[in-house]
Amino acid sequence: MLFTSPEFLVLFLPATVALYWLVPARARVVFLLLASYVFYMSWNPVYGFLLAGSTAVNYVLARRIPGAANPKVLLACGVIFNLGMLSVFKYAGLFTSGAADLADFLGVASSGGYDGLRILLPLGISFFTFEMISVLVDVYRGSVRIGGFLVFAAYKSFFPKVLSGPITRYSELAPQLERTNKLRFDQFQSGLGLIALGLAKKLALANNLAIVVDAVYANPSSISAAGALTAILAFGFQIYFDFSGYIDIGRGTARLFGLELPRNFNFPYAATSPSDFWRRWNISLSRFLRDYLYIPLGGNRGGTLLTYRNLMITMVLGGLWHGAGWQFALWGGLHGVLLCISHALRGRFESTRVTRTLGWAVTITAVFAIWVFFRAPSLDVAFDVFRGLFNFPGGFSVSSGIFGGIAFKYLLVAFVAALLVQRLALPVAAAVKAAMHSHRSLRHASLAFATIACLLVGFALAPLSAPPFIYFRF
Amino acid sequence: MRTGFPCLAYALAIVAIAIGADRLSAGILYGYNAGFAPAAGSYYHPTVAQKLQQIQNRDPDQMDPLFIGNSLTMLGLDPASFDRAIAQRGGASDSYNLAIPSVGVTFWPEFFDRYWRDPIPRNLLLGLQPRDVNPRGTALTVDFIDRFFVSGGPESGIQHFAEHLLSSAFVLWQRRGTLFIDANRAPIGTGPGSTDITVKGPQGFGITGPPFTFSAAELRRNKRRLTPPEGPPFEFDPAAEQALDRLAAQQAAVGGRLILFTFPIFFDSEPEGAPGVQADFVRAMRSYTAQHENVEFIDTATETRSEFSASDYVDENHFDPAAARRFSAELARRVGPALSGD
Repeated sequence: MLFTSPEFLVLFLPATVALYWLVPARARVVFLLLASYVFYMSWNPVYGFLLAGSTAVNYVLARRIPGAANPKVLLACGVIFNLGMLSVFKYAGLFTSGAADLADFLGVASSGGYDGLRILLPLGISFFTFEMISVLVDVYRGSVRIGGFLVFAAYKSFFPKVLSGPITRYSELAPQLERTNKLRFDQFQSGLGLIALGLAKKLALANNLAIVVDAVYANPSSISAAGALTAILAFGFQIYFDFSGYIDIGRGTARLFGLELPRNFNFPYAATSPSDFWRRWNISLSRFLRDYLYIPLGGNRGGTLLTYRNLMITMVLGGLWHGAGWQFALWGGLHGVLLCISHALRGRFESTRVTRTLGWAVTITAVFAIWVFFRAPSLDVAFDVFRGLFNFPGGFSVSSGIFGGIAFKYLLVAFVAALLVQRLALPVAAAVKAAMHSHRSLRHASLAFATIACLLVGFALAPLSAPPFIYFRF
Repeated sequence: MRTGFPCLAYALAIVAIAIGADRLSAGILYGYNAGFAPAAGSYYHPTVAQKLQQIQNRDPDQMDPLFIGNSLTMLGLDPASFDRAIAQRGGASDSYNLAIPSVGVTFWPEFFDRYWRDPIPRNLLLGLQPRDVNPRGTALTVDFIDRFFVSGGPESGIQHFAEHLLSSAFVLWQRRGTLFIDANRAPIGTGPGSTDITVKGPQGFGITGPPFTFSAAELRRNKRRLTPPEGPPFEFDPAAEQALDRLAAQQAAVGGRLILFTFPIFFDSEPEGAPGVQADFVRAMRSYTAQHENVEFIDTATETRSEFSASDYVDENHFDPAAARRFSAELARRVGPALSGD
């Protein structure tokens, strides 16, 4: 059941929201838990048992850590359990195919083209694994106290975020689930608006951009410079609209239940440096990597070289978290290099409009180029796309999709304009927000108008195929 | 509850205004805003939505036979004329022409499996030409299947119901395929586009308008110029054969029949139009039906060709409405005895 599917939009969502507010307040958590399992198990009922099993193990550990004689051992058990589960389901294929390749290379044994172990990946496993690790660490640190099992299970399985985040801390959601929350009109109204915005981003923009991107990546060896550049730019926008569209729908849905999920994007393509980018892109993941990996590794406390080492380890592991493939490791590693360079240059230039604009241009160029490794199914394909950038003869066109048939030069202008809009949107967004707060009727009218417009744009411009959200793979 | 009612009212108002804006847009874009079916998905031709809407408003227990096929059937078979001819012979039928432009035979089993929820009519009449069952036709139809079934797989009852509900409320829901055939062409409806075929009457019969019709003299000239003398050998695509098998099994399950029939086209400028290909196709169909008890093949093309001339066609292979009515009566005469009764 995709967030964009009719069964979610016209049946599951309205029914769960209505019933949630109709059931007695003390039963709401149980209702939310049941609804979340129905949602999760609609993909594959077996997944539900895995989710329940993982919840039970983590709950027992989280409850025992505070009073344990040696809490560190329990914490280690918990981290090993969670990472072990992630490794089995997500990385078994990579490890076994890597071992087979190594055996081939060393001449120890012939793999006979063995492609590695293939295990069905439970949806959202990367996200809820990180959430569970964060809970155990927070409990160990004493910053969180675990309440009842139902709240814990509802926190873990909460359907607006279980599949692709945002990675939510226990302290951010559980207290909301524990208290009797009240329906607030403003929250409900903005929730509907976020859902409509997310639908427009995913259906009208991301899914149509996917047509352009897929056309290039389907045949990367013969792509022209125009095609390669178009695909690089288009994917940068596709993944942004896809992932932020999903998050918008998730956050909007949570608001209809009177609950708040953390923000995950803040104009990422307006970033003026790589570290600024990671403060704006997939904020909940960056926060997790910073608090539970980078800082425990030593952060920037051990001098320049150790800081670089910690940045590189964090970003390579962050890359591998996205997928079991060397291209993801390279993607993360390249971001690590960018962060190291950014760290090295920090304080060397005065912050002026010119340096900030230059920083933005360089950061965005690098981020978009590095996305190629993220999108490519293998390193070979990624390098084909980069080679295509130097293949000057020949044009590029896609025959279908709303961007189909549009000449490359216009697409290029549109992409650059979209980037500039995001760069310039920051101050404008702040001004709009301030105006909205001071004029209540203007806020209501404009929100209602935007909700309707986004709904119609999303519905009407959705392409024929409905690919799932990109981050569902992780 | 004090906040509940304003929230509910707000949500309903948003949905109501959005539906109004959607209908208004559809009215402007399509030139007509009534009769939009809750289509299973986006389809390139707006007549499909109208047909699905018409089908919904009919009594499924009464509807029999059902005509399926491509544009040849849609424009060439007038169910009202067919029913009249059956009635004149003492029979009774309440037929419907569900043919959809461009689709090959592989589309139809998917349609019945994934979209159809009514009882299956006992008599399924499938208009065929070589292109519907050869590998080229199968390859072209893959795209049409994808376009029709947006959800991309067998749908559960809940999925079907939800899609139905959403597309009933929002005409534009996932109908981008009908808004833009491709980005270089104008939106369908009031501008130039693919509005060459429109549904005429309540039984799914289609007609085509003047910008797309040729004079008899033009057609004769084109026939001399464009008929391919020979084409590649006819190949009965295994996927098409499998599709026919599925339709035959579907009909057998309700004690009904699958009747295949052909159209006497004026000429066909594509490779399948070569006389040798046409003859091979007829032989292949005869051989196929010989192996299936509840499948019948009526070569109406050969049997009625002498009765139609260039002036009966709007283009190289589609009948004009008057010729379609005559052909429908002829088909009724030939097919009547083969129809399954209760």
